[in-house]
Amino acid sequence: MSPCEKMRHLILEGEPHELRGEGGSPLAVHVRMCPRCARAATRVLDETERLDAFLTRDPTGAQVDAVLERAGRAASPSTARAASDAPPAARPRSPSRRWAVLAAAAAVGALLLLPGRSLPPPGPELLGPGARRLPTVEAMTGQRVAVVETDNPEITVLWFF
Amino acid sequence: MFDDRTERGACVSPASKHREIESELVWKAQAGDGRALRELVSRAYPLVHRWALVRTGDPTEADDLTQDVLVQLIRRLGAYDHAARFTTWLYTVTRNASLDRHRRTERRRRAYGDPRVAERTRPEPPPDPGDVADRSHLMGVVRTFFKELPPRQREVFDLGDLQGLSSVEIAERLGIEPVSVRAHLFKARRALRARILERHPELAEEWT
Repeated sequence: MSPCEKMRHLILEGEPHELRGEGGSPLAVHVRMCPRCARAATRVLDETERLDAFLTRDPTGAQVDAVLERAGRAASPSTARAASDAPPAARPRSPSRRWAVLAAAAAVGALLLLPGRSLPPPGPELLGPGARRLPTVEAMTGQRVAVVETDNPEITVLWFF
Repeated sequence: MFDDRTERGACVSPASKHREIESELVWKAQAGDGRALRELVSRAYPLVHRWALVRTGDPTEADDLTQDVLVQLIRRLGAYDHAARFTTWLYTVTRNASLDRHRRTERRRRAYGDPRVAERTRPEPPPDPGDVADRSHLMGVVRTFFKELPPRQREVFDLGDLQGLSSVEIAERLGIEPVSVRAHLFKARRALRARILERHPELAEEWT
């Protein structure tokens, strides 16, 4: 068996740095001295690098946005808050969805203010002379709330946004 | 991208510095910093996609799995306690998601005979030699060889020879013994390199 034949087995199992001819192992020394085996080792390294390149992929902004949006819809409150703090481009929201959210908030607010439901007493700063008594409403962390009167004195809309 | 490698081999940047940045980002994201969360997802994406591609061997499957894993990353971030490296934890999330996905697919196939699964499991017709040549040229034969390796060998080869992790680190991550890691790595190298060299008969002739 020639030295090169013996080395072939080592090329199949050797460490990448040995294939590059680095170090003092028998394979590395042989690769440095033998152009034929060096060609084979180089071929193996080149193909392995191509494989590495195939496996390496940087994400597009849209892919990251898609992840954040999916997580924002279904995440727990703390992580959802983090996701919603992301830059605006990360959370595109269609106009129809926005209207759906507004309508739902209005409906919930109207239900809460139906006659017979007790509400906390209003703060004095909300009341002007002759004004209707508006309810005090506290939004959840990270949300705002607007209180809107309607023509019907028994209905007030609470708008959470 | 997170540096998933140690100081060993061709790694150029100090791994400890990367770990520091990685850890800081995770703390901030856990505290509710949206920019940090976005940065974390951007950095984790290529890593998770790579692992997903190695596990599934299919780019489309890998894209779907990556999205699933990153959504889970955000959902479960609060549960990460910094005891293990973040990349190790993330790898576990990826493996579990991959297994879940595989199990779901199998269940669907058993229960309903999912045509998508049937499509995937149907034996492929014998390839046309001309097509093979074209496809090989476009996609790279070595990728096909890689895909033919058993999943465990693919994982070990990627983590060891491509990402530069030590046997001990790979063993820890995969939950197997270092000696098994070496065995899988040698098998993967032999199979892959032998196929690579077979493509170049001129090199083989030089040896005989």
